[in-house]
Amino acid sequence: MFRGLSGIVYKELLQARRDPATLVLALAIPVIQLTIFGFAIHTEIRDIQAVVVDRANVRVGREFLQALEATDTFRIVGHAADREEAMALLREGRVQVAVFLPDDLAERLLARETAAVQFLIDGSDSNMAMQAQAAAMGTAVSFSARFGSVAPPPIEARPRLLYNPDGRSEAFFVPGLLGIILQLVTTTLTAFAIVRERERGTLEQLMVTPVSRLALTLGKILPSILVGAAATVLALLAMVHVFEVGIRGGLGLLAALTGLFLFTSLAIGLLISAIARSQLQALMMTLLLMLPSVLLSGFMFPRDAMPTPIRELTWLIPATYFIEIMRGVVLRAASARELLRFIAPLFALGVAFYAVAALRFRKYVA
Amino acid sequence: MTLSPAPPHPKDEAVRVSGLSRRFGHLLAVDSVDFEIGRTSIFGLLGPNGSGKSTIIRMLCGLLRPTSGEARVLGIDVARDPESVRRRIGYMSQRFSLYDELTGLENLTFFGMAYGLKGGALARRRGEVIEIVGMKGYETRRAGALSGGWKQRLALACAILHEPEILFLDEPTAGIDPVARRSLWNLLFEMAAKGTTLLVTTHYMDEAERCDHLAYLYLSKLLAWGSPTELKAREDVTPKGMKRVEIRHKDVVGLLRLLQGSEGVREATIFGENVHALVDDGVDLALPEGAEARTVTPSLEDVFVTLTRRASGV
Repeated sequence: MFRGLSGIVYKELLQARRDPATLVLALAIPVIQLTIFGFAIHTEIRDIQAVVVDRANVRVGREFLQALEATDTFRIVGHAADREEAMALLREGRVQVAVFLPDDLAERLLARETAAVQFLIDGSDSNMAMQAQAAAMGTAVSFSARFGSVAPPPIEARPRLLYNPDGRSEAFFVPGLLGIILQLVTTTLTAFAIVRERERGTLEQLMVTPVSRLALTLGKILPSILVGAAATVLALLAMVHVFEVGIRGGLGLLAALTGLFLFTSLAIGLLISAIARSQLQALMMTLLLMLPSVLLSGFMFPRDAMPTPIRELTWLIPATYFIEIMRGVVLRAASARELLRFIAPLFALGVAFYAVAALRFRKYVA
Repeated sequence: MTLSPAPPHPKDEAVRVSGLSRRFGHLLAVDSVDFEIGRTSIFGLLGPNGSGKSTIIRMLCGLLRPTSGEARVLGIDVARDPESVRRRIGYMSQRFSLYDELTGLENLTFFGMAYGLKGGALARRRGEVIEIVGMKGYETRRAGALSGGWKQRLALACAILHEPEILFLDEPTAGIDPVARRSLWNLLFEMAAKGTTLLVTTHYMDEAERCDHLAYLYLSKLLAWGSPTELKAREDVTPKGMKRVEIRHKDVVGLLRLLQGSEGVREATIFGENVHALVDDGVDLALPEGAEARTVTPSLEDVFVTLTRRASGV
């Protein structure tokens, strides 16, 4: 039954040793990914970015804010002058919570009336929103206890969920999932398109024809763009009609920004195909890039909960930007201007990937 | 490096290679090789595996840059202007490099488009090459489903669609059966007769005999080049005072041993039912019963065996 097994194993081991690149990838992927993701992923929410509108600016108000920060759930990243400014920050995705202290905070406390602190919470991430809500109410209760047991409680939290008032997790996951799927399809298609030709020897045959490098590259990419675009339309239809996550922002803007993300995903595919020597290596590299795009981009786990160095690293992942963009346009009806800080780096990353891929290609052929 | 136009070249020269070298890391794959190929000839590039044949062809097609030296194709320096060369040459690589999942016709259409053929011109030319390589009736099959010989015909058809002036064929007959090999060669002769220059690499001696000119590579160096007649007449192959003798005997192995131990025998090699020996003039060979000896001109194999032995110092 096992006749010849040792021979096969012997040959496979030798072959694995002769292809060190694949072996290194196979060994390094689990170690690297395990280390990074093990440190990075925390499901308990900390450091939710909050903006404060505190026009009264009295001592008791400042003490309440300190109590909020002491929970570790919130991190106050700035003060806004008024409601408008705070709302803009929410739409831009710079903060997930806006805290409004009442203008007459001190007077109400003196008059032994309840002062209501309003919390506007970005409900896109329903899990995070729930925890923010609980922490806000908990802080209000424990802060009120400092005044002794009095009724009615001096301070009360009034949280309100924005953008996803029902707290549906589909609203959070589906727009992000769209980005992940899009990246998977286009990157893989492009990476394999050229590596396959190299592996089969047809690339060399193409190289002796007068077809230019640019025409070759573009010609290989265009079909991937078509497939990617078709996949996007299908996924958007499913998002709206199956998951009932409506698109609140502009469709034109959504199309343009999806196009931008396609451009960047294709660039990654090209880069892989410029480096990989075989389809197996291309597959490994695609996986190597796919995992951080799923786990670190904020698609599944909030980036705010990651340790600082890793949170900074997530800005190198194109999916990070696109997921922010998708949630911004689909859920918060954000404008291009409000999303500029995600759009510009996404574009820059795409251009950078293209440049590196082009350089690698030139080295490779002739 | 100056950007002045290439100097005028004689019209009958298809390829000129001078001091051509290519290094891969520590390995010198081609070591300062010089040769010329006239227009409309069949030029054979011979040599054992790894002697640098494919590397030379790939440099001539602009797939590899020479480390030093120069390769001119149709008067153009390939390293400097590969694009202009590509339009005028065809290349058929060692391994089958067409698209398996496309039919013959689709492969032809694709390569035709890659060479800028369109519409009616493409359709007409496609029909012509199918005719030329004789694969009518097979052109609608998927390339992957064709046998070795038909694959080579299809590859040849793709390589000549754009009517190249020079066709580079890297071991075109490797791995195909003798009948297919013969018919492929007939095709090549026809093409040469119609004015195409062919450069063919091979290690089959019978194929070498069919070439007008030959270059023999060994260990990255060019050992000899010229017409088969010139090569056979070389003095270092049959030096003065020696002759080539062909001896026929039923026990060739025994005969070879006997000859190798005989006085005045410089070289002895088995060729089928015969032994070819290089013998000093005036030596009387003590041959076994039934052995017939006659003086012959050296075959190409004699030439290459002798040159190789000398080059490797055996």
